[in-house]
Parts: sequence; C-alpha cells; structure tokens
Amino acid sequence: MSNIRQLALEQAEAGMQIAVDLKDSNGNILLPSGASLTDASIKSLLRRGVTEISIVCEEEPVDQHLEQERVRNRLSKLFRKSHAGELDRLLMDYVSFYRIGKKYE
Amino acid sequence: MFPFIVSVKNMNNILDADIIKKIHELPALSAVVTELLSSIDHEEIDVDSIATKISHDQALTAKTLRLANSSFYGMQHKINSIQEAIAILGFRSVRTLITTTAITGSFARGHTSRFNFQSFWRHSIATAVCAKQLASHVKANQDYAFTAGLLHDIGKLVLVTRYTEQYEQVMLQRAEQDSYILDAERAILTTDHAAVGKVLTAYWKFPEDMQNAVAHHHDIDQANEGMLTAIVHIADILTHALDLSEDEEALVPVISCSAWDKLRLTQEISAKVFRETEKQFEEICQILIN
Repeated sequence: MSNIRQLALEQAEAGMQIAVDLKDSNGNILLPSGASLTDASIKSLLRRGVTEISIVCEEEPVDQHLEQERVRNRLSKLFRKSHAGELDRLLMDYVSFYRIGKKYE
Repeated sequence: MFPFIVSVKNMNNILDADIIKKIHELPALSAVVTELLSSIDHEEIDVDSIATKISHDQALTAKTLRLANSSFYGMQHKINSIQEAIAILGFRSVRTLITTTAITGSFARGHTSRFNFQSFWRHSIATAVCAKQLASHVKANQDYAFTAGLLHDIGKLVLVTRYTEQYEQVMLQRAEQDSYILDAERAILTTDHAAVGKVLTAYWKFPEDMQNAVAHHHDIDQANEGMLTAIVHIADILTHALDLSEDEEALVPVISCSAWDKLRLTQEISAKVFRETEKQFEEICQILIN
C-alpha cells in the first residue's frame, strides 16, 4: 500500500520522495514519481509557482489502514444526504485525497 | 380536533414583523460597535475617534489584539494597541476583527438542551476563515467574505434564543428524521435561519451583498446570486466536509452547481484552502470562544 500525503511545497524538505509525477499546466513532467527533493529542486518549483506536492510518507502501514477506514467512514456519514450528486461526490474525493492521499471509494 | 391542530400551527408561524420585534430585544451591541457595523460600506469615517472609543473597552481591545497577533495575519512584530493595529493591518481588517469579537460575545449561551453553542461557533468561525481563503483565491474582498461567513447562520441564534421552545421542536424533528435543519425549520416554523439572518443583517444595515449571502447561502440555484453568496455557500459546505464543528450528526449540504462553477476549485486549490483553513481555525476558536 502506498502512503501518499499532500503537502504545501513551503513545508517540503530535502530528502522527501515525490509520490506522483509533478506536472506543469502543459502536462510536462517537472519531477517524476520516485525522485527525491533537494533544496535546489524545491526552490526551482517555488519559482515555477507550484504550491502543492504529493510525497511518499513513511508511517506504520497498520495505522495508515485504520486511519483510512476512519476517514472513509466519517466521510460517508457526513455526506449521507448528498453523496449522490456529481459535485458532492467530487468533493468527497478532494477531502479524502487531502486527508489520506487517495480518493474516496 | 382539527381546529386545535390549526391553532398550534399558527402559534408556530413566525412572521418577519415578529422577528424584528424580537431582534429589538437582543442584547445591544455597544455604541462603538454599532457605529463600526453601519460604517462597513462607508469610506469617510473618523478612524482616530473610533480607535480611541474602542480602546476604552478593555475586554474588546484585548481580544481584538490577540486576533491581530494570531497566525491569521502572521505578523513578525507584536501589535500592542488598536491604533497600531489600524496602522499595520489597515482599518478594514481591524473593523472585521472588532465586529467579529463583539458579535461572538453578544449572544449569551442560552439554556437549551439540544442546541450546541460551541459547535455553532466552531462552524461559524471555520466558515469565516474558509470564506476568506476562497475570497483570496477569486480575488474578492476578504474582509467581507470573513464577516459574511461568520454570520451566515446567525439566524439560528435568533431562533434558538428568542423562540427557544419552538426551536427545540425543530431540533427534535431534525434528529428523529435525520433531515437538514433547514427543512425542519421550514416544516415547523414556516421560516428558516437564512431568512431570519437576512432580517437581522438588514436591521444591522449590513451591505446588501452581505445580506444576500446570508439569505441565500442554502439556495441550490444561485444563477442570479453574486460572488459573495457563492463564497459563503461553498465555505459552509467545505467546512462541514472537513468536519470542523465537532458535531457528530453534522450533514454536508448539497452543492449548488452555479456557486461551484464560480469558484473554479481544483483538487490542488481545494487542498490549499483546506490546509490554510485548518491552520488558522483552531487558534481563532481559542481566542473567540474559549
């Protein structure tokens, strides 16, 4: 199971590993998944106006699994009246991705 | 039996005129806060005299300065007086801070078994902080968005403090049917907190777009609404989705397509809004409601 976390680029540190190909608005890859951040690459991304990145985080897989379950269950309760809507479902994905690095399933 | 049921229905039927009468009975805001509220869309205002008057209210001044020094503004140096705050943050921002502090302080916590004032203010403050982030994203007025977000549900406070018994029934029905509070309000009171909030913000002489944002924040069709209404509608939904109110039974309202389209939220932007909102939210709650 991949443990992915979204992070503000400002909070990123050298040594962190990119989890998802980082692309510019034209779809060109700035940094491929698996690459490690360096101080120079962080500065360069900041200059390009990148604000968010996805990084691989090393946490206990078991805790991660429990946390994913918890987030998933809470989202399904919060959206119990509105989950059928297309936009509402999209928002569930946004929040899920923000909390646990993957879409709501 | 039938006439009896009709009379009970009439008893619960809350009319605008009745609401206005009740609003007059609300705890009065201090003269200087009233002056600030009614100055929101006026440019010509005596800033020095207002700063002096506010400084005389020590509790208000202390809370306002704590907000000014919070991570909300991320200032490097400590702000020590209202005058200094106005010089550094600008009059508009300080006015937002003062009215926020005064309004959150003006509604005493009532004695009702079901209504959770803590959750209410947590949600209102979260919506204010989130609305400010959204306004920054679409380059709208951030202070307007913050204030409108803070006040979007203020009608609930009028209802729960002035129509306590009827509102207990509303909350009971909401719990029994697991419905949206808005639907329970309409069913039992024949009005709702958005409409009551509109009456209150009109009474406070808030700018029209702020009144509209309060009045229409639950409308599904927002084609004819302005940007501020869209911001408050979406901020209300995002903060429910982030689960910030500590209300176990919270329900995310249905998203209005027209409001969503106006804000152009991508996954990347929403993640940024979520993070900034959560970053500032707890600290502001600590200052305002604890």
